[in-house]
Amino acid sequence: MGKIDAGILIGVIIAVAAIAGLSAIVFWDTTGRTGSGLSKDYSYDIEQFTKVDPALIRYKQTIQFDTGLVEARNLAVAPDDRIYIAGDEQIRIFSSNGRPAGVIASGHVNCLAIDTDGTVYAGRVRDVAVFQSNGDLLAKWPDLGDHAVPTSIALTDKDVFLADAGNRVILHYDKQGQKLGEIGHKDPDKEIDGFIIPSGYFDLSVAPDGKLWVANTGKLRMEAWSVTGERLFWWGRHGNEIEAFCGCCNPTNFTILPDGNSITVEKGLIRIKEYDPDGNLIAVVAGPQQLVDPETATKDLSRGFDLAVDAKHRIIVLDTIKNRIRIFEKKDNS
Amino acid sequence: MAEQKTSLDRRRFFGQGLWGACFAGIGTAAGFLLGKTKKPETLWQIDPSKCIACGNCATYCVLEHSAVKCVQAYAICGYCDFCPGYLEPGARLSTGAENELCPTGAIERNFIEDPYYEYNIIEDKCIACGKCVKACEAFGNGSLFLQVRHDRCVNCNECAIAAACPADAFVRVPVEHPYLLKGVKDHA
Repeated sequence: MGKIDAGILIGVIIAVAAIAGLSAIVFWDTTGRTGSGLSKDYSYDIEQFTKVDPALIRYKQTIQFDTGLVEARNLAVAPDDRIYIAGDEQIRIFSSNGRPAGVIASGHVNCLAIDTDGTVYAGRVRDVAVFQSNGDLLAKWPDLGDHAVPTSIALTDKDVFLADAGNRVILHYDKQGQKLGEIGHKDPDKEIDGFIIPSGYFDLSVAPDGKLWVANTGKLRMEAWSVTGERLFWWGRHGNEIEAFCGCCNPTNFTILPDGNSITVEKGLIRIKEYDPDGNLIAVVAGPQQLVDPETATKDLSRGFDLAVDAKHRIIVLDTIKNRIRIFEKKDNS
Repeated sequence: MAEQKTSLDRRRFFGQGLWGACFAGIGTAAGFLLGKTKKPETLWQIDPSKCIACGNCATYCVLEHSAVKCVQAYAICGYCDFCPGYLEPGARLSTGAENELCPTGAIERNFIEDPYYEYNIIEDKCIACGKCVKACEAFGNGSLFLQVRHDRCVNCNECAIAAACPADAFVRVPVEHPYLLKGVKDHA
């Protein structure tokens, strides 16, 4: 009485051990499906910054079409509104509504611009190639050197400006490829601290008033320069708020509207916004929730979308995640 | 006569059997030691192009401190002032500890020249949660990424992290090339 039989005790211990072992086998997750088990402090969450006040979104998407490219990299719009998209070692041409209109075998193109006569200027890995409107190669300009990374081309009546992210400088040419100068070198006497370009995005554009606009991405600002190389003024600041530029190096690309306003696009928080020439936010074209699926991999968020504006003031966006063109127009046409 | 012969055979049988057992034991021990000293032909590694920085590397490794650590590809780092892998996404540019993104303070920031900063991983503090990796991928150049450190990894046959990796990013690599590093070419 009061004594437990040793056999029963051993049996109970064995049974408990067996149940514990079985539970461990059944419930212990070795597949990773239940996640890391780390607390919220260890997760990276930018969801709160993807929300945009709907009242600020004054554009709507009206057209989209697939480019058919595996890796679409950049776009340009011709004066006749045809859309040129570079990627996969070629340039594909589409009508303003997305109908295929031709292909140019261009090689790997980093950036392109279309002249009024349809001549195509393509910044490639180490040179600038010029193609006639029918796709025939017209000229290849001299080698840009080992460190050059052409990222943007802008044209005027007689000038070609090429942004070189590798050397953090703007190269100034005439239309025949004769180099006229370089813009943006450090010059303490003129308080020019140079371009800070941490990644392969360095965009430029010539505004209707003749100013050369440059995205100084490492400074998170837009800078206005004269075509002769004088820095005139700049605007832009760092932040995740909708008025500011996010991350380390934005805006990745921009275009200038006929009224002088800028349309900018950022990476990380992929959002497209309209600013006046003084840098005041006018409208949001599309926010992260309109442009990117929630399940998009974080590494895809750093793919810089490209932008252009056509003669109808439509914003042509190259979605480099889905390799698709998306066209936005003002909601109220104002 | 016949009985004596049987007795001798049994003795010899046991004697030779003992020697045989000794030789077999020595052979087994030698084989075991040889197996232990022979280097493996392949090692576990993370393919950075597949890794989604889910955080499982931090908690599924059989070691008390995970063999996976964040590494920095200096050749593709932007040396940014506003480093998204170093600072909290909503932070203003202030390098106070409250603004550091890494929950364990495993990233150090050193001034190079205005406005460039170098970011180094303090391995003993890194737990491989991948928080900085995600931030750098989303906003920066993706220079921060995770790798199995072979000075820590015990190279299990069935790697517990590989089994728990939702992206199938754990692969076997030849021992001559134990790391899958990012470079300028991958980044271009």
